[in-house]
Amino acid sequence: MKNAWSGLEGGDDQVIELGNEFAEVVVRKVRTRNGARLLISSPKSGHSIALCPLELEALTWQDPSSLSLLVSNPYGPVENSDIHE
Amino acid sequence: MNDLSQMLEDVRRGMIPAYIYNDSDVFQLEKEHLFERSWIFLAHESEIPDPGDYVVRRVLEDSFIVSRDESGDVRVMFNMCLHRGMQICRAELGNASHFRCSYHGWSYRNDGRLVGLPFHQEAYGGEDGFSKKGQALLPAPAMDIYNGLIFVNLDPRARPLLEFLGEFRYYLDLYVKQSAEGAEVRGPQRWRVKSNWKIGAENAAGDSYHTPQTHRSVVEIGLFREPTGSKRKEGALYWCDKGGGTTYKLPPGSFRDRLSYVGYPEEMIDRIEETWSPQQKRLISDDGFMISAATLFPTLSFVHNWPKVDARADDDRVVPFITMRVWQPISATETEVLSWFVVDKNAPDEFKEASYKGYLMCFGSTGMFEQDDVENWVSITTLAGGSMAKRLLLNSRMGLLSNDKPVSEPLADFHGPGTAYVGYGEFNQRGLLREWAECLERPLKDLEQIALGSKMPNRMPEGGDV
Amino acid sequence: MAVSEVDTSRSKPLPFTDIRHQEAHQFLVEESYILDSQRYDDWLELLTEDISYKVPVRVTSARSAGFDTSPGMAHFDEDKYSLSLRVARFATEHAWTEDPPSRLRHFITNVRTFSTDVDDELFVQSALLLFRSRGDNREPNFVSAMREDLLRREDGMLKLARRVAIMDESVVRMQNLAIFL
Repeated sequence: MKNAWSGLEGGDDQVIELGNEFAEVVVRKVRTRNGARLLISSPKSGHSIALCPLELEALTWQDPSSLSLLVSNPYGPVENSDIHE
Repeated sequence: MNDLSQMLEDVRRGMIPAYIYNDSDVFQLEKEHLFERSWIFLAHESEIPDPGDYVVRRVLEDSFIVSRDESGDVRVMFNMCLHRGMQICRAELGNASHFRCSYHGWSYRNDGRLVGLPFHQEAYGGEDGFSKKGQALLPAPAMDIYNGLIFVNLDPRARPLLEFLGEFRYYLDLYVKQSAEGAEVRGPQRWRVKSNWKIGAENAAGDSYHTPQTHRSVVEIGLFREPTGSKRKEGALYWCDKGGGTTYKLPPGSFRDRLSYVGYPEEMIDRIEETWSPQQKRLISDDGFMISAATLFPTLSFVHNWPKVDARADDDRVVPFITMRVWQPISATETEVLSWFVVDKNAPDEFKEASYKGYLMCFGSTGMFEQDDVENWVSITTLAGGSMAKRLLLNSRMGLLSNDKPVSEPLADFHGPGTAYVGYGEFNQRGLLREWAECLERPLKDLEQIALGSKMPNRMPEGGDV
Repeated sequence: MAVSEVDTSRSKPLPFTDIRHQEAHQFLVEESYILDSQRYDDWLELLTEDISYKVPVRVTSARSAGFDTSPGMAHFDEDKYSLSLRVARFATEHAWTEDPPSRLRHFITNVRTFSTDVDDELFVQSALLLFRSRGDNREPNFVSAMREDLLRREDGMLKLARRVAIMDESVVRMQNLAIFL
């Protein structure tokens, strides 16, 4: 997903790189004027997303099968969600 | 309140019943006839630059979330949960992708859409009992943005913002569009003053007459290069559609000379020159006027001035600053001032810092100008509440002869829109109160209940136990 | 000039019996009497030449937001020059907002003093309650704030080198801040 976060500087926050044989991501905290988000980017695919604390906490409520749903459609959003317009 | 039509007639001829500055009946009229259907400034886009950034602002008692959604659009939503009416955002500002009500946990996206409610299936029988699809926090009945300035109107049938602003946009640009990217703001400082909101709005609209007296102290301490007091009568006053303002007359010179004279650095002048229209530039180059204070009806005021921020320097270097403020009414006798520092986004950092310093020294909660203004306004408001004030018509006819002809003719070759006069006069205060009188006189149309975009009433299950 | 930083959540304050704490406390009390009586020329004498005097704009933010002041905006953000201009203005005959003057009382309490890694500098925290009464028929106003001060010994005398006064209200309930915290 393209977003407006590329111009944001994370200050001196630590950049975390994680990878396995299927994916590679870079994670860092980015500050906005009024708050902060966690920017997750995938240098190879060019996708990135900035998650707010509530979205991140929501990840902690998931179980392996709901996360499997996220993984099920590579490089695209989950399909058939009733929240999508 | 005395007789309404008599009051409005007095106001229109420039004789102001003193009690209008402290009267609960008048305030009630203002709430319903004016504030519930005027375009009210809420926030500047630069306060919510990134997706998820939001601020919470009010129009009278109505709280609104002003947010930038995930696709970058500005949204203004009534800050009340659709379920039991709890206030959704309780911080003044923050960043969030979703808002979650603290009462029962209903969640909304930052564009207002309802995305979930706990136990949807068990409590409501799922979509069948309560269809959350299409439900959203109530959007502001009308919202629009001009040059980064986010306005709302509680009347969904209000005429469009651009039409309302009319040609006053010419002057707004001079304050908030000094380059293609426009302005950024800091603040607001917020403080409460025991003063009626109209007094500050009128003062900024056109009161150049008070400067020599009220602000004598700041001239004496050398905060300004020239003795500002006597300079004021050489400036022009303009009234244009829904707003008016004051200007200073500058010494001879070109467009660039004159911007440089008030302290703009070359690179900012380059951008200003590229951005303003030829007609806007002529106000400075041909007419020699530089904008000072202004008010857009009803409650948004601006100030532009150029103090000596650092008088230790041997030269006469000045630095211009811009501030914007809202006179937000709390009651007939109390106003919350929200005051922002405004600066061009592309201005060099050292300019931004010096200009900010100039703002703090002159205006805002600690500003040396504003301190003395407020002392006057509080006293006026207090006295306006008594019985003697009900008998007194304040003379606000400056600039007019007894036959209503102006003391001096309007400027024939003024390049700004509207009507302008040189010298002292209360044309703009009268202009503002004329608008005020128009609003108070317009009959109220019934506002439909929830005619505001929520599909709630049609979507409720029929025969449900509601 | 080095500016000391103290993490007050980790450091231990000096015991109340420590002479440095007593000197710092006395400094604040003396300063309060000067501010109450609006002897601002004397007050300027208590400030170092490189004084930084700040009163940020407080905002209501979430507990975990990591900030509770407005980004980039303050009520006061002063140096010696701008403070002395403000003082000079009060000395003119036309500073109407303080003539007639307010009746002021700076109550200072909960004073904690911390030594710093600079010998001549003390970090002092205190609570301020400022009472202000104007005229004869207006309600008086209060400002409650926490002060974080840096005091530096110069020529044997303590002076104020830095003050950050953090107000406890986001909306100031006072017609202006034509006073010093």
